[in-house]
This record gives sequence, structure tokens and C-alpha cells, in this order.
Amino acid sequence: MENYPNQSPVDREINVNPSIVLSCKISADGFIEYINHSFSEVSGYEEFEIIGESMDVLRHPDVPQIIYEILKERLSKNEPIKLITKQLAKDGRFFWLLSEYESKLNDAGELIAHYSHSVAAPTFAVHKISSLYKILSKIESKSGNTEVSKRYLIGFLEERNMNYNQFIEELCIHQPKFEQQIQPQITNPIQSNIQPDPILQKQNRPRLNDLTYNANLDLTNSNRIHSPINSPKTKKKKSLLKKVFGK
Amino acid sequence: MEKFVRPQPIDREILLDESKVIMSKTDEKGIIEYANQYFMNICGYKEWELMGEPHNVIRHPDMPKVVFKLLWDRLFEGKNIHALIKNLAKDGSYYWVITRFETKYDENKKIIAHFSYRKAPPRQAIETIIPIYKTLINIENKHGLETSEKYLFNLLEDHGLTYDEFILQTAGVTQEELDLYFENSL
Repeated sequence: MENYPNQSPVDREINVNPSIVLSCKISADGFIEYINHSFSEVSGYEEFEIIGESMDVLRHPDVPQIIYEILKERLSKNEPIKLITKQLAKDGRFFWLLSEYESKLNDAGELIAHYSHSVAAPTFAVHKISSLYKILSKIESKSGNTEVSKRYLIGFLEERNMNYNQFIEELCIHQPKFEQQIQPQITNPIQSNIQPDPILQKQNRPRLNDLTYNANLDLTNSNRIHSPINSPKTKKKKSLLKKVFGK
Repeated sequence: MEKFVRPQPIDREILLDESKVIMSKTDEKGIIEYANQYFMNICGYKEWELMGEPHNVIRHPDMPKVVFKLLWDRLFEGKNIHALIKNLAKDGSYYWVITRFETKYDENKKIIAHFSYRKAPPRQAIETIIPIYKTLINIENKHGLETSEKYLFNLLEDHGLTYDEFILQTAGVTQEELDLYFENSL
């Protein structure tokens, strides 16, 4: 299998139509098994060009490695997660996606593949997350690993009294009022086995969730949170895909 | 990893906004894991320059070592300390802070992180402490840390104060007022 030549990134954005859903299926070892028509259109790849290739061809270098590690961890545990990621198109342009993931496990509970269903990431979310990604990426290039960036991300979430999933939800549903230390609208108070930031706690903020130092990756959340991706329109398209692929 | 280069100090003071708090999180050994936006604004460093570095990279050379010894003695016990500290920004400017610490433990009661909060101290505290720090640092340069530590303890004893009482007195506040000062932060 020849390596598909990866275009050098160019600083031009592809604006994704907010009403479409981009879907793909990735094998456990990271190869693209399927993309839907929308994905092909947006990314600029014909199916035959990209099926069988490594999913790395779509990864934009501006996204820090720690994000992919979180994804991998969640997929292997079949825990829900959404990511906002910058993708690399065939011609080197970029596009931002808000993606939801589904693990496909075998009977032994091992990951054999995952699906991702994505829509255009909200502009506000992109703006906020790019600055975080820039910091994490620079930390990673300096340290050469994800240890320091992981710690930074944990501290970042602790300061906001949120876990990773909540943070992504907040970015997608809140408008520019979202800054550090604003009370998020959390409907289910969530248990924490770690002391949250004590100063913030005293100010009666919602509790932290699941930021344990013992898990291999400490940014887990097992509680399914209502997803903005599950709007009626996209739900329809998703259930069609489910019919086609089954579960 | 490139070596961290401390800047040359310059005689320029940065005054902190009293309503804001500098927050940083370190591991149990003092390696910086996270810092809030206000810290980044004040110190002038970028996040990737500081994360993974030991917190002492912002130490100002005018600070006597004994203060940090006391600080770490407390932190190893998971206790808070209010210290008056002069810090060094990236461009060599300095800024004074009064500190507050919170310690984080894992389920085995082992220390895993320290949160430090730093705010502008009252002017009178800074003015009182400057000559004392000058004395301590002169002693340290001449006779070392142990001697300056002894001097500090003798000084406190002579005034009939514990270190914590001494700090409150120089700041001219009660413990409750100081706690409130930290809690009312943006």
C-alpha cells in the first residue's frame, strides 16, 4: 500500500455546510474503512483514494496529540466523547468538525472499529479551542511527549470545574459570555473522587467530575450528556446510517 | 528540552490588580502543571515556556532562600503558608505577592499537587519586609542558609511572634480578613 502523499497544510478554511453529517468508520488499527459522500465532498478525497489509508492523512498538525490519546482511551472503554478537531483536506486546506464517536467492540470487549459522525464545528467553539490547542501543541513540541500537555489540560479543566465532555458541551451551546469561572449549566451534579480547586469550591461552583490521577488517562466521563449533535435532522441521518451499518 | 534562562532583573515594578488572583498548580515537587491567565499576563511568559519547569524559575534573586525553605517545609506537610514573595517576570521586572496554598491528595493521602494563589500584598507589608529580606540575604551570602534561618527564628522569638503572626502583623490584617481577601477574587 503506497503512502498517500499528504498535502502540506495551507491556511485556508473550507466552510462546512452546517446541515450535513460527515461520517466515517475507522478500524481499530487506524485505517479508514468507510467514508460517506459528505465526507468525500468536504475533504476532497474520492473514496478509492482514502479507503485503506491511515486516518492520519486527515489529521491536522495543529491538533495536539493529547486529544487523540483521550479519544483512543474513551473508544477502548466505549465511553462517550465528542471532539472538536481541525481536519486536513486533500488540497491542504482545513475544516473544523464537531464529532461524536461510537465504538464497535467484539464479544471480548475489544475495540475493532469506531464510527465518527461529524458536523461543522460552531465558530465560537473553534475560536476558543484553537487557542487551547495552540498552547497544548507548543507544550508538546517543546517536551516531545504528552505528559506536560496532559497535566496542563487537567489543570485547565479543574480551573473551570468541568470535565472534558462538559467543556466541549459548553463550547457548543454557550455564546461569547463563556469565559473562565462562569457557572456552567450542569443539570446533574457529578461525583468526584478528587478535591476540586478549593478556592473555586468555596464559591459554590458545581463539582468536578472524574479527574482521577489513577486512570491511565484522567479525563474520563461515563455520564452520557445530552448532545447538541442529536438534533432531529442529524438524528434522522444517523439512524439511517445505523440501519446501513447495524451495531 | 532547552534550558530555562532566567532574565536579568531590572528595577521596574509590576503592580497587581488587587481584585485578581494569580493561580498556579504544581506537582508535589514544584514542577508547574498549570497556570491561570492572569499569571501568564503578569509574568510575561507563554504557557509552553513555563509548563514542565520548576516553579523556582520565577524566583527573584533578592529573595532570601530561607523563605522558600520555610515555604516548602509547610508544603511537604500539606499546610498553608502566607509568604511575602518577590517574583521575577520574563522581562526582568518584579512583582510582590502574598501567597496562599492548598494541597491536593490522592486516596492514599499522598500529596499529588499544590495550588498556589498569589495576590497583591498591602504596601506596608512590602515596605516592612524589604529591609528584613536584605538582612537575611546578606547573612546567607556570608554564612549560609542555616545561619539566616537561625537569625529569622531569633527575630520572631524576640518579638514574641510566630511566623504566621508576624506576616499578619506586617500586612496589618487578621487571618479572617486575609482569607476573605483570597476568596473575593476574580
